[in-house]
Amino acid sequence: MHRAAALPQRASCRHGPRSLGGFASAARSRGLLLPGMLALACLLAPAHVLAQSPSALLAEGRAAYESLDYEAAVSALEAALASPSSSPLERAEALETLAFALAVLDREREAAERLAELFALDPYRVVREPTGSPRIGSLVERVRRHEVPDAALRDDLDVRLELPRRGRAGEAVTVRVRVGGAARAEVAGVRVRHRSETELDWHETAARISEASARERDYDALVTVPEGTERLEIYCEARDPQGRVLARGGGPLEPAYLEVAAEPRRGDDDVLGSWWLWTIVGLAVVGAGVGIGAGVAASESAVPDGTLAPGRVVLP
Amino acid sequence: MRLVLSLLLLSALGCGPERAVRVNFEVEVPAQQLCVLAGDGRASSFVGRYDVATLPRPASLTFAAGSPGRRDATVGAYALAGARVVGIGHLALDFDGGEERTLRVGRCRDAAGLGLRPSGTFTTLLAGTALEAADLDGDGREELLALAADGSLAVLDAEDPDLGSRRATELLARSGRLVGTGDLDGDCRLDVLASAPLGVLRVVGADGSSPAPFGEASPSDAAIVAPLPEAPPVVVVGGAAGAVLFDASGAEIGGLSNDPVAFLVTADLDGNGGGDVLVGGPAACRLYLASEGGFTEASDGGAGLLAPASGPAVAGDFDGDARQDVALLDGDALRVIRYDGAVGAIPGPGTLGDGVEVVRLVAGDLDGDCIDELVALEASGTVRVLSGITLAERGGPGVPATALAMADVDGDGARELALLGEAGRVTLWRP
Repeated sequence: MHRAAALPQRASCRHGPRSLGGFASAARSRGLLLPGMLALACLLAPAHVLAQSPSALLAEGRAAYESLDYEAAVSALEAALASPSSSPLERAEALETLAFALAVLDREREAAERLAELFALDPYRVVREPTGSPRIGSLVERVRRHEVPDAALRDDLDVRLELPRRGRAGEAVTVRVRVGGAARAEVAGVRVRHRSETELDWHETAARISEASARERDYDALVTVPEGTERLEIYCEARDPQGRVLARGGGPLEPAYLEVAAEPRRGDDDVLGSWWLWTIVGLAVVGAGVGIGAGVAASESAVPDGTLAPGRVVLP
Repeated sequence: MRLVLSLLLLSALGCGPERAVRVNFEVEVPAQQLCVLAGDGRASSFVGRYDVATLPRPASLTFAAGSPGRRDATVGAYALAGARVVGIGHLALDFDGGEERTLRVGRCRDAAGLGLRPSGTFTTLLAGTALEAADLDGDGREELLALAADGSLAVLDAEDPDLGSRRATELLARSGRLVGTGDLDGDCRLDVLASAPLGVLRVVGADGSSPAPFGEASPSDAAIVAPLPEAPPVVVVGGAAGAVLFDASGAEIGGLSNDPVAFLVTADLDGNGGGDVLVGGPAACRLYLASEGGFTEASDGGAGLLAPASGPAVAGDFDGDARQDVALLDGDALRVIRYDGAVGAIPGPGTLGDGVEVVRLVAGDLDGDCIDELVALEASGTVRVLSGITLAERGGPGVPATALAMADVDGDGARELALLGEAGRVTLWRP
C-alpha cells in the first residue's frame, strides 16, 4: 500500500509540465524557467496536494459526486484546485463538479462563486450537471447570465471543426467549420480563433460560407500559420445576428491542434500538398449529448490519462 | 525521404509523440480490492491498490513508455476478497500497437480446452512437497511453487517452461511444506506460508524476504484470512495445540480453539464479506465466523459441518451461487457443505467410495461454467475430477500426480490444473 501511495507523488511533479499544455509552452518560450518554478511549487505544496495528481483528485472527486458523497467530492476537488500542477482544463473541470457538489450541499453562494471562476476561465463552456438537476441547471444559467451576457448557448446546434492534418509555416490553410442541428439557421456568422503555442492571445478570423463544399452550412476560414510555429491551436464560435455565442467547436481549454510541417514545400507533387486526402478532424460537438472532450482528445496525439490514481504511469 | 529520416531521428532521440496505452479494468468477480501491477514481466515498477466498490467507470490507467527503447510491458491485475485472490487477469502491452486495451479480472472464463500440455520441470524437489500457485512477480499470471530439496522456494513459470524453476525468495523451509498464499500485508504482493519444524515461515514483499518463524513447531496447517474487508489480514496457525491467530509481524493476537487441528479452511462462508475460519480435526470441526467483534464460534454449523473430519478440505463454489461452500473428507466419506444463508448448512450427498485415501483437494472452475470443480488427489496418484454438489465424476487428466494445484498460468481468467509428476515434471490440464 505504501508503495502505491508513494508513486503518485512522483507522478504529480512529473505530470505537471506536460499537463500545462499551451500556457506552459508559451511560458517556456518566454524564458520563464518553468521547470524550476514547477519544482519549487512541488516543494512548497502541502503534502496532501502532492499525494495525488490533479487528474487523480479530479477522478476521485467525480466518483465521490456520482456516489452521492458530496463532502468527499468537495474535499478532493478543492485539493485538485490547490495543486500547483493542475492544468487550466483540469481546473475548469474541478470547478464545474465542485460547484455542483456545493449546490447540493446548499452552499449556493460558494457554488455561484465557483461557477463565476469557471466562466472567467472559459465563458462559453457547456456546463451540464450529470443527473440533469433542474435546480443546478437554473443556478448555472443564472450565473452565466450575470457573468457572460453574450452567451446564448443552444443544445440543438452542432459545430464541427475540420483541419488539415498538417500546415506549413508562413502559408495559409483552410479550416472548415460544419454547422448542423435544428438551430443551424440561427447562425449568422462563424469565427475561427487560433494562436501558436508561443502566444497567449487568440487571433480571430471570420469564416465565410464555403464555395468548395456542397453542404449548405459549411464555412471556410483561411488561417495563416505564423513562421516558427510548430503547432497551432484552433477553435471556433458560431454567433447569432446579435453577436451572441450560440455554440463552439472546441474551446480555449480544449482546442484542436494543427501540426505544422518544418521543412519548406518542394513542389506541387509533394504529398503534403494534398492535405484534403488525409484531412482529419478536430471534432467538437455542442449539444445533442455528444461530449466535447472526446473529440478534442482524439485530435491530440497523447492518450488521455486513466481514471484511477495516478492516471498515468510512466514505465522506465 | 528527408521527412522519414527526420521522424526516425526524432523517434530515436525520444522526441517523437508519446507512446502510451490506456487500459480499462473490468472486475468480473465479487471482490473488495483490485491490485494492479505493471512492469517488464519479471519485476513490477508500479503497484496500485483500489477499492472495488468505489472504482470509477470506466476504471482505467494509462501506461506510457518512459524510454524510446521500451516497446512493451506487462500489466497484471488481481481481485482480492479479504486476503484471497479470487480473480486474475494479464495483459501484454505493445506501445506501438494501439491506444486502448481492456483487462478483465475474472475467476471463470470459457476458454478453449487445453488437454494435457507439458509445462516445464522443477529442480530437484523435496519429497512429498505440495504444489501451490501464486502470482509472485505481479504479471497477472500465476507461477507454480514447490519446495526444493534444500528447502528453498522453487518457482516455475509454466508459460515459459524452458527456463526451468528458479529460487526467487529467501525462504528456507527444510522438511517443510507449503500451506497457503495471500496478501498478508496489503501491499498487493502475494505472500507465501510454509509449515516448518520451527513454526510458520512466510515470504513477504517484493524482495522475497523471509522473517523468523512463528507459531508452534511443525504446524499442520496455516492460512491467511482477513476477518473483515477493511481489517488487516491475520495468519491462523493450526496444530496439535489448537488454532492460534497471529498478526502480519508474527505476534500472537489470540486463540480460536484448543482442539488438535488437522486442517484449516478460510473463506467467506456466511456472505458478510469477512473471512471465516473452519478449524477441523479428529476431535471436532469448529466454525468461527468473522464479525466486527472478532471471530465468534458458530454453535450450529448445520448438519454435517461440525462433525469430526480428518481432512483434507477445501473451499469452493460448488453449486454456482457465488457463495463459498466447503468440501471436506473424513476417512473415505466426502462431504460437501453448501451454504444457503447466514450459518445454515445443507449437507451434500457426495462420497468417493470405500478405501479411497485422498491426500489433497483443490477447487476451481476448469470448464468455464463458473461452478468450481472439485479435484481429489489420491495417495495412489490418481486424480479424480468431480462436478457439482452431487460430486458427479467426470473425465480427468488420466495421468498420475504426486501433487496438484489450480492455477491460471496464462492470466486469461480460466483455470488450469497443474499436475506435478515424477522428477519434478509439470503437466497442465484443462478439459
